[in-house]
Amino acid sequence: MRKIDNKGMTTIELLITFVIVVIIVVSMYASVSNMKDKQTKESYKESLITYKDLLTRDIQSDLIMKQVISVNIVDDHTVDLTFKDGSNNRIVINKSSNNTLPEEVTPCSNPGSSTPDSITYGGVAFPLPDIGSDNIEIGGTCKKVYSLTIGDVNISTDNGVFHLYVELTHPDLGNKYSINIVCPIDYN
Amino acid sequence: MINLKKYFKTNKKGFVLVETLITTVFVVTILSIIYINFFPLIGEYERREAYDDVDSKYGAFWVKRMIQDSTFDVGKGYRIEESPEHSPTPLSTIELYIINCNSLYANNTSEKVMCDNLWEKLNIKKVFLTRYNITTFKGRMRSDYSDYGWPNIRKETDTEFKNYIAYLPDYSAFQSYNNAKYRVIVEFEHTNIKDGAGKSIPNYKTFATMEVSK
Repeated sequence: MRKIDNKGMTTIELLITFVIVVIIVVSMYASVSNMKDKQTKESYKESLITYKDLLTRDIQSDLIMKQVISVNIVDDHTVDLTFKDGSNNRIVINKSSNNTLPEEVTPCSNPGSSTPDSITYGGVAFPLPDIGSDNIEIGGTCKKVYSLTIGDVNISTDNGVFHLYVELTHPDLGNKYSINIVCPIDYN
Repeated sequence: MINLKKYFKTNKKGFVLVETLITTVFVVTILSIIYINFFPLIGEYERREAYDDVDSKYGAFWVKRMIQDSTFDVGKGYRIEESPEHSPTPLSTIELYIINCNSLYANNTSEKVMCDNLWEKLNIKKVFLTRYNITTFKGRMRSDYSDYGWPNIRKETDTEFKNYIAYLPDYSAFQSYNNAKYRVIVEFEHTNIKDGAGKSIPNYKTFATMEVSK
């Protein structure tokens, strides 16, 4: 009977293979980790753009289709729009004080309930999407602080142009995807 | 001649090191080729984020409305160069007008003031008017208007604009449902943009197009 060669790999072959695999894994680690970060940011970006697009379309389609004839700025965060058909819609920018970070940040666990910042249009609230949050101690209480928040708000009606700017800020995305609605008032 | 039957029956040594190395090199080469071809797609994807986004589209809509509603006469020809010796050029000759609020409204009228303010708030940098079907215009942009002698157009159209024009379809397959003869292409430049750490990032441009019935 013929003797079968069942020796398999030698130690040196195993070692060389192991070294090659390690080199490949190490060289790919940085790019894989980078891609993972990028993928997370992309998913954040997608949620934010979807939010911005939906809200902008809701408001702009009314401004165009129903034709805004007057704009009344109630306060820094509230504006009333009056349309040609006599209907009114109010825009309210709701900034939650929970989302204002203290100077010294102390992480904590088991946060109480908190609400994200939101924009209300025509009585319908559009809460900002939850794209990341931290549990932080504020005033002795553990609170959930959302990463996406409303920053500066600017409402103006200069020279017959309605302008609503709502800055949306996020630690990874900055303020690039803020809401900027511009429309002439009583345009014929 | 090798007896294959005998070879496979007796050779049970498995892969040797050199075979493993050759396979590794082969796999790495294939992966590199895939990566080299895939990488530009990421850049293309990021660039297209700046094309026809919701803000730019609504901005282009208001520009289109103003062109349609103003007394601006597209067929009359337009003085494309600043110097007075250039006579008004018809769109069918030049394929591209670069227009502003002065082109649409007479100076100091309330419409002109409103137009300037609206364009500023919309971050509009330039407004281009061309024909609905942009086949000829695309060809001229590809050749950088090199044969046509309009330096103003070459000066005002940068690489980002050219990329956008290359991305657009010809609009030659179908006529406009609204019988539109013209097309407006709006370039926006966004300023005061900050990253997550609050640092300013460079201005960036977005583009949008809409048909114009005039």
